[in-house]
Amino acid sequence: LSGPMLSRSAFNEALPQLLARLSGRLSWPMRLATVGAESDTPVMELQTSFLVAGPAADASDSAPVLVQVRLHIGFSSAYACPVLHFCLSQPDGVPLAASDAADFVRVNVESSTGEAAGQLDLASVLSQVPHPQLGCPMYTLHPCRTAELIGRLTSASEADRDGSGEVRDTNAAALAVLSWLTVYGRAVGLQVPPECFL
Amino acid sequence: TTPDSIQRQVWDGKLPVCFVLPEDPDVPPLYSLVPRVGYFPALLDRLRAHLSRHAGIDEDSPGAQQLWLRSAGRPLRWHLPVGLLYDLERPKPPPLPWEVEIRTRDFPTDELVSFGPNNSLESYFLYCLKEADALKHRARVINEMGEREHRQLWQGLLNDQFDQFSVVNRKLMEGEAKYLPFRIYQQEADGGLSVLQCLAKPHREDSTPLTLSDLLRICLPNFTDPVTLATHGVSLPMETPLAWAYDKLAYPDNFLHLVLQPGRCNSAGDGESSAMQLDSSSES
Repeated sequence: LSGPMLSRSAFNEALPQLLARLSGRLSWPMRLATVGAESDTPVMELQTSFLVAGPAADASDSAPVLVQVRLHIGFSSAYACPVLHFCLSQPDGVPLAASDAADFVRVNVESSTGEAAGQLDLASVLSQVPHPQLGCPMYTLHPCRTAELIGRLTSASEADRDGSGEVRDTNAAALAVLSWLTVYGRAVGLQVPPECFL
Repeated sequence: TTPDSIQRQVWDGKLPVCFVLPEDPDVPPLYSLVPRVGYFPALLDRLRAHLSRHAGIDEDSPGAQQLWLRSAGRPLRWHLPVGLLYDLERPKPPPLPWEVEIRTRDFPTDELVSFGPNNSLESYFLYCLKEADALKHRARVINEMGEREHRQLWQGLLNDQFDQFSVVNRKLMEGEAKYLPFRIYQQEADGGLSVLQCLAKPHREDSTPLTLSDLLRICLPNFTDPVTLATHGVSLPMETPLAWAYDKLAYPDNFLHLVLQPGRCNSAGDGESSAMQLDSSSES
């Protein structure tokens, strides 16, 4: 893997700047929180609701349904990069069935990338897993290619990195996470406004 | 490196389980010898077939599709390997055969991962393998493997085919690891489970092997009570090098799953019938 890696401390320090850049430009309610046994792991929580088309199977009665999305942006030590965990539920709090969740993600990715349905192997990158700190089931996108992606997306200069090649500068880290979110956020219909990068 | 007899013994460890359906006591129990390194959701088809045959619950019915498992009044966190779940039971591992309840109602959606066609156990297993390789090799080895080899790992595990599994897994287990994949579990009295994971290199700063007691100091720096780390039902001496324990005792998901227990290690082993008996002559 080439490209800058992100350290946990750089990520933690970048979160407030991330919040500042997104607030007021993205309509999703958002906040910083901490999780973990000793509440020592910062995450960013966002949530919103979407009206999505009804189940395709019932085309004659495709009344739109409301899907609530709850998003956690955290850090994966294993991959040294940000990681997304999310819950998808009906308005009454009942989680979406796995097939509906997969459809929701697929529709979002297709509408933002234009890739045809059949070519997208969602099953290999979308899983419902226990949240690493909370333990509750949440969906996640496998971070296996994330570090590679961040390396290509970020415009961090050599000056932003330390001897180990990690991004240390808070501003550069915040921009790297924002770039990552621009790509991965699409899975849940999150579109990062370009002004956030200014 | 070819797999040795300890790794084979780890693979072959099995637990006798008795699946019962409390909501219908007339339904006969289903007995099964379940691999310790396997996963309960892999048995869902068999359980549904059993319910269809004996309880009149159609395999496609909501009850059968939303089936879940319980032990000692708590949902079984079935994303964890079977042996680990057994070793976590409190106050101590239940008598064998292990009685596990089948439930067809009230799936605990806020506690249990739901496995099925749209969220496969295979995909979750691969997710674990990827994370382990990210720690060891920055995911280079797993990403260089094609889908065919990923499938072979899963099929080998599912079908209890050690050789089929090992020929691919060898690539993941060999070579220098940057960090060693492990997790430390502690079952709380209230049913909660604490899971610790941190970054641990195979060697200390002075190049000597990192031991389990070093690991505890890194993960639980404020912990002073005497504790034991156990895996596959066997307590490990605290001076065991982490790299050795990882190489011999990692699960097929490429993680060393360690259970934290209060009290000092009984280095002669616990002598529990469910525990794998380590053949000390094969220690390298």
